[in-house]
Amino acid sequence: MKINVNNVTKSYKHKSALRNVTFTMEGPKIIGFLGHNGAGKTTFLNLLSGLTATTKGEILVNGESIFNAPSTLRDICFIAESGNFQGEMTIAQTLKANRFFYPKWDEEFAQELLQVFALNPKDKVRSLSKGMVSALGIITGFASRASITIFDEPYIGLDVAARNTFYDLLIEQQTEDPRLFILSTHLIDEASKLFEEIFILHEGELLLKKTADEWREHIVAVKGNANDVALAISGLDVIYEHMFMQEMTAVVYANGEPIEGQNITLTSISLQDMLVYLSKQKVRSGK
Amino acid sequence: MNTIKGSFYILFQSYKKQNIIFWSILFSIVLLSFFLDTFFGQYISFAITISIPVYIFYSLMAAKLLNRTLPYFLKLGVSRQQYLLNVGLFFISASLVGALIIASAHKIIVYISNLLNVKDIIIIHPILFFNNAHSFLQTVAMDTVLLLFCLSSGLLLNVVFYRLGILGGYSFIGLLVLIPIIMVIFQWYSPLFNLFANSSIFAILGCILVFSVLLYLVITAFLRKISVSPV
Repeated sequence: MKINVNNVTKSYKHKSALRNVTFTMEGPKIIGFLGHNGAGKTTFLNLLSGLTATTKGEILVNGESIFNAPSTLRDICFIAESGNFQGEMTIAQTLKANRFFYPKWDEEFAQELLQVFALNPKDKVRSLSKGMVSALGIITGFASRASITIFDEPYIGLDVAARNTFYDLLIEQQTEDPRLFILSTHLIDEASKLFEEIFILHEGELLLKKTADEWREHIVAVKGNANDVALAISGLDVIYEHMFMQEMTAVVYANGEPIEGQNITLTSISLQDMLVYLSKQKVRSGK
Repeated sequence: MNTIKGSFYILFQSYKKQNIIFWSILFSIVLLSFFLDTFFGQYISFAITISIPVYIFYSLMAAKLLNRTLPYFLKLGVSRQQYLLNVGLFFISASLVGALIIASAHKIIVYISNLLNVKDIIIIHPILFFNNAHSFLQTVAMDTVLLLFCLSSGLLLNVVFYRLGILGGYSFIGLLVLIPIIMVIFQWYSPLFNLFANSSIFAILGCILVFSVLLYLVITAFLRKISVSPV
């Protein structure tokens, strides 16, 4: 599975949600699709699943345009944050409906997952709690066996145990039936170990695309005396700077180049911290 | 084929409860009319209309269709063209079923009236405007076309609200309200009435059918690139 995103722009009446975004996603892989609120993640995922049309540019899956293309769309299963199901239908009816639309639908696995998440097939979707609806979304995503499975905040309302079940299932599925999983979440610390590749969107643009291994080499926090740090990071792109008790911390894109200097320490940055820094940068720049 | 079956299944399930409630209320009213007629039939006569509430119900059903079902279908990987095709087929089936229920209900009411010797229950139906001695098939044909028209019109209204928002939607309704007012001002209602009265039922039904199809084509054009989120 290969997704080509070519110069995609999505504008609404008063704002531009995505600005000239270009990148490639290739699977099978578990991709972390991250960014703070309003970065454009959901907008992009809506475009990728054909729910909205691009303002400019195109998205191709294996060379085929996805918009209004059922042959391509049936290989994509998008579990959005909300509104995935019909309130009037029961869980059993929802799963039955899925059978008609996902060519690789695995009913046996769906029934197995119903028991894992302790859902009653006779319950109406409308009567379910948030967590139960999320569980139904997870069941649909996994049992669809779609080549591209997208989870956008899939576990709203789920407790820690159920979230861990989701992570276990994701790893198990990726081992048994490798696909391209795209996971967008704000619980980054929990999920970060699952990601094989990370995409970070920031203010409608792709800020970063790195594999998990590259991440450790490319994003580094440099700590030490202000002058030493400034010397060490000169010429590098600085994401975030912070002074505390005479010690300066600078988060930089090292781009694989060695950072050398006296009296400085280099530490890797977690995904969660990176997004916090990006948010702080956004606040500072007044955007 | 699977997509069509799936779409019918979802549309049926989505509107099942509403339909059960509607038809139950409608037939309860019919039964109540029979009951009241037994006691008060000697003082007053009763007029029953089944078709007109069904036209209104179908219009309302279609007027909420996009908001209720489009996002769900698109998330299931259905293209907008497939959605419209499947909804169109569902409309035809729903119209036929609705028309058959109306015509059958008329027959049953007449049968029970004869059985109970109730003479003063009048069944109001648009076909009486053209023909007093109408057949079962004529009633079915007329109701099918009228229900199809109601469904298409309801969906068009939904499209207008979906695309133009509340302001645009109500402005559109305002424009529609202007039509009968203009008809009264320019006295167009009289020739129109004469035209209907002098035309054959099949000619009128044919025109309504063509108009419904045209409406549906307009809707298709409007929905070509529609997004999941209404305005």
